[in-house]
Amino acid sequence: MELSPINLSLLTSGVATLINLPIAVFIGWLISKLSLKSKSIVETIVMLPLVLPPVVVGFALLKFFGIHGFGGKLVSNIFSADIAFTWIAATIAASVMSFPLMARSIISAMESIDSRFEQVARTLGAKPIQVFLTITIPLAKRGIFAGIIVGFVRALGEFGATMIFAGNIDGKSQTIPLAIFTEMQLGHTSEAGKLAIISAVIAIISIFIYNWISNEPKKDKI
Amino acid sequence: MHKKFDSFDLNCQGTFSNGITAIFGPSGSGKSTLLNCIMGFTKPDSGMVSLNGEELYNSETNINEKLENRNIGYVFQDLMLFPHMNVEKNINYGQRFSGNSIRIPHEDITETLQIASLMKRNVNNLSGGEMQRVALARALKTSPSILLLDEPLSALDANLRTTLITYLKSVNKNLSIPIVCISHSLSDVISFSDSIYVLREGEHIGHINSMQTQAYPQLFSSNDFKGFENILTGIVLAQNEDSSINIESNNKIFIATGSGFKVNQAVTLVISASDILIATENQINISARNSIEARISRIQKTSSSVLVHCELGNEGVQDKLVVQITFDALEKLNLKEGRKIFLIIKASSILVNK
Repeated sequence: MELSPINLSLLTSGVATLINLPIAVFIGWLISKLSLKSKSIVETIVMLPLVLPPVVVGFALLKFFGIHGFGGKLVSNIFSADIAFTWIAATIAASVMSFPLMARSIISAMESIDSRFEQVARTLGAKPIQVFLTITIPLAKRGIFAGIIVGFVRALGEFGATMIFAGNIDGKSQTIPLAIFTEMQLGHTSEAGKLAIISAVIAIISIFIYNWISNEPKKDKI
Repeated sequence: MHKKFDSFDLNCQGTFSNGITAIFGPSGSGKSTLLNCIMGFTKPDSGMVSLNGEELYNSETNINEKLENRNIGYVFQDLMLFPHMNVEKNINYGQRFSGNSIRIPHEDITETLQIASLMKRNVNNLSGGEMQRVALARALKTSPSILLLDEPLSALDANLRTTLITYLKSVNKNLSIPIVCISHSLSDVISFSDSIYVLREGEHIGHINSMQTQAYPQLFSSNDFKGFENILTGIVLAQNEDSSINIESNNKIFIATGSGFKVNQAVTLVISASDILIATENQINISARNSIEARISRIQKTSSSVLVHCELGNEGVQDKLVVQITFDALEKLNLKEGRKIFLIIKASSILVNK
C-alpha cells in the first residue's frame, strides 16, 4: 500500500485517535475513581510520553516491536509480518505520542463530574455500566471531543518517534512532517512550503473546533 | 447499626414506620451518615438494615445489597437533576431499569407534584421549588418502598418550605410512600413530621411521635443546636377572627398568628432565640404583640453572642426561654442574673404547631 504523505498522515492520525479513544476514556474513568495516591501513579505513567524526548519513545518502540523485541516476535508469530518501518509503526508512534494530550483532556472532564450524579442514577436502578453510558459519558462529552481533537492534531504533527520507529519511507511511512523534512533536505523549499501550509490549515481548523467546543456556553451546568 | 470513623462513631437503632419521619440533630450528629448507611452509599461496620422485612445489609451474613437493587428513593440536598436531560427524561430515567415493577401511575405523580406542565423544560431553567418537585418525581417514578430526603428544606425560603411540606405530605398520603428526611431545624421537623428520631454525637437519644410534645423539652433543650430554638407547650385560649391566637403557657399569655386552632387545644410553640428582644421596662406602645415579664436566671457567653436564659413565671416553673443578644446589648442594658426584664416577641415570630 503506497500513500501520499497527506493521506498517510490522515490515516495514521485517524487510526491512532480511534485506538486511543476507548483507552483514554477508560483511564479517565479509572482515575476519577482512584484514591489520590493511586491516581498519581497512573497519571505519571499516562503522561510519560509527553515528557520523554520523542526519539527516546521511538527508540523504545523500535526495541519492543523490532524483529528481536518481545512485541515484534509476538506479532511476527501471529501475523507473519513485521511492524517496524511500516504505516502501522507510524500509527503506533502517533498513538503513543498523542495519548497523553487526549487522556489529559478526558481525565479532567471525568474528574469534574460530581459523583452524586452517578449515585443518583444507581438509586434509580441503573447498573454501573448503564450509569457509565447514560450519565458519565454524556456529562464528559465536551472533554472527550476536545481530547479527540488535540490528540488528532498532536498525532498529525508527530515526527521524532515516527522517524526512529517507522523510518521515512516514501509511500509507506512518510507522513507530512517527515515529507517536509525530506523536501527541505533536498532543497525543495516550495514543496516543503505546500505541505507545511496544508499541515497548518488542518491544525488551525482542528484548534478552531477545539476552542469552539471549549468556549461554547455550558448549557449542561446547573 | 454501627459505623466508626476517625473522630466519630455512629450507633443507631430504630424502626421507621409509614408516615413522615424526621431524623433530627445538630450538625455533625451523624444524620447524613445514617441516611447514607440506609441507602448504601456508606457501608456500616456492623449491624443490620432491612426494608419491609428484606435485609439490605447484614454484617453477620455478609449481605450488602447493591444500590440499584435496594428500591429506595433518595433525593440529595442539591437535588442533582441530570443537566443533560430535560424534565421528562430526568423523571423517566429510572423507568427503563425498573421493568414491570412500576406501581405508581405517572399521572398520580405529576398530579400530586403538579409538574405536568414542566415536562419539556430544560432543568436549568426551573425555579428552586420546581427543581425540588422534579427531583421528588424522579425518585418516585421507580416506585420506591421508601423515600429518603437529605435536608429537603434547608435551601428554601419560607414560602417554598410551606409549599414543599404540603407536597411531601401529599406524597406520603396519596402515594402511600413512607418518607424519612433529615433536618437540623426543629421548627421544620415539628411542622412536617409524624415522628422524630433524635441523634446527638452519633448516638440515638430518642424516637418520639411528633404529638408527644411533653417529651420535647427533655429531648431538645440543649444549646448545642445551631440557631437555638425555644420549645414551649401551651393551651389555646382563643382563636381570634384576625388570625391571631391567644395561648397560655407557663401562666403567661402568648399571642401568635395562625388559624384553624380550637379552644383548649394543646399546642407547641417554637420561638427562635434570635427573634426575641429584651427590654428593661414594660413596653406598651410597640407593635410587637407580646411583652412577657421574665427574670434572668443565667447569662451564657459564647464565641459570637450571648445567650440569656430567662425564667418565665414564678419560682418553681421549670420552662425557660433563651434569648440570643450581642455583647454590646448585654453591656448597654446592664443585664445581670436575677434582674427582671421584659421579653418582646412579634406574634409572627411564634410558630404554633398542633
